[in-house]
Amino acid sequence: MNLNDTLMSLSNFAPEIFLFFMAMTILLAGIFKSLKKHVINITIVSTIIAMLLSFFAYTDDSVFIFNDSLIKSNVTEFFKIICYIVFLIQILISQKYLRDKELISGEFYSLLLFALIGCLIIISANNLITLFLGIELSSLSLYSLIALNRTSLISGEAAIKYFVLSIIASALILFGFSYLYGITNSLMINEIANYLSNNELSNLYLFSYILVFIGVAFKFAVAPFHMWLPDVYEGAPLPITNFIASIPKIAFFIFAYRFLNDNQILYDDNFSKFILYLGIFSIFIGNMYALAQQKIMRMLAYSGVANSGFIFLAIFASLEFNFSVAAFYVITYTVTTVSAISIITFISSNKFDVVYIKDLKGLSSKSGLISVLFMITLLSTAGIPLTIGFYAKYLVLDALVDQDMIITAVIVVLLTVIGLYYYLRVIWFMFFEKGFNSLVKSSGTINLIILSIIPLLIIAIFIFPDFVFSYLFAILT
Amino acid sequence: MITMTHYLVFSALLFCISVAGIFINRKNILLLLMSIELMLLSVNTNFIIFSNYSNDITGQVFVFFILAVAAAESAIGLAIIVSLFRARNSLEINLINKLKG
Repeated sequence: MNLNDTLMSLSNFAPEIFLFFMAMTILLAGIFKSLKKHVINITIVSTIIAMLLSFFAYTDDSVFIFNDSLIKSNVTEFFKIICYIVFLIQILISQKYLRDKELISGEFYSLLLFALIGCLIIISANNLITLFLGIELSSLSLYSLIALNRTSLISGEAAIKYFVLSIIASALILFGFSYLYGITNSLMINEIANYLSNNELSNLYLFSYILVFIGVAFKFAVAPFHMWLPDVYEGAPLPITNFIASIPKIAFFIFAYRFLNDNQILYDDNFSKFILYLGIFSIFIGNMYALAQQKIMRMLAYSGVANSGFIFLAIFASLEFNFSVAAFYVITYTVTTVSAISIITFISSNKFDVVYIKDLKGLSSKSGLISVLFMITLLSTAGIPLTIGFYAKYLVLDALVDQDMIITAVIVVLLTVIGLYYYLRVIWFMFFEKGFNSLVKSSGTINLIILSIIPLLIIAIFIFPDFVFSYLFAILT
Repeated sequence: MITMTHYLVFSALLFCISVAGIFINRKNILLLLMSIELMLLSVNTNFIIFSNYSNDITGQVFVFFILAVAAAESAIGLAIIVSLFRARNSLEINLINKLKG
């Protein structure tokens, strides 16, 4: 690797390197009292700069950087920019909540940036070592972020649960990696994924892929590997929940895409059935458990389990289409979840935490706008027409029917209809019951504008879906 | 004569023992950390065996990264355990049951 290559690599990886240095700077700035109040602004500005760097360096051809250990293409850059935007929304919305809970500190934003960088590295990894380091960088930061609220009893518990199960997931992924390395004698993801074009499918290869995808299912919280998700949603501070629910999902989707794109293993009956059954079981478990929940975050968690099942179904359906259906679903899911959790963050304040669903009763009489926005978001998660969620679910079901999986499609539709009940219950509490306990502070017009933009997007993309979908189809082919 | 298969079976057994250790253990959180270490070490054994038998050094490089990450992981795990212990004065797993729906 000569000097020219190094410089080329550095310039292509500039946004992440810049973010890394800014994360260090923020950690340092948090120590000084005079700088501590600027920590938020530094984080916002540096994320915007990294996003712009990433945006202006956007090209259609793929470049391998740092001795082929990372890849930069239009797919990676597109999903990275989505990560940056989601991250910015989360930081802006969470300011008031963090100030109320006295959680603002240098290490909070520094660790959050490290978690973001980890996810960005997973997205652009082309080598098993970089991939593993990206996974660990993001999850190590998240363990400490969940446990950051040291006075809370439930935060520590959520952290230890996430810690143990996430390490089991990483170890399963690594165990699969070790066999893949033994079979293919290479650590390059593209060589591993193309191995089957020259060789027969062996049982060991299938076994290691299943191990890796059990690990991915853990990270996606697909049932039966979903046990940590409700506890983390309930126990972690809301801004962290917002992060865990969105950005790692995008990163692990790209992980799955890299391992399965152009890979003959998708045509293998055992493997595709494995993905399919996980997906159906997850939709079943998610919808059934969500019916019984009294706490709003646990309900959202189980609805997340059901949605992850849809993502797995979409990955199964990419057998004949490409990954654009799954990518569209992941983006839809991310947008709606971020909207829902941001609204709950916005309502919660130091005097009043929204914990139970019935805490939301009569919200419409205090703040009509917020309750309408929350309604649109919930309807999109449920998959009601006029929202983007409907179109995403329709695409998955369409792909299933095209593969003659009509019975599966019918079962999935029935389960989704059952799931409608718990979304409608929240809407019922907001509009038709009385007695909201707290004032929704009108402070923060910027926050209100951000919160309104996402539901507008949810409806707008439903009206013009081809705009996004055809673009995804083009870059993922 | 010890062949590659023996080594592979050995590391698979180690992995199974550590998974069992995590799920059967009902007493102490510290035992969980030991099981987690054992899990990552069994992966390391696998990498070293494959690297040795195929005369390819990259597998052993991977092992160093895994060792470093495992150390960082147990450091953070211990930190979480300390904060948990301060909050409730006990390390029994049965008492970690505040979160339920």
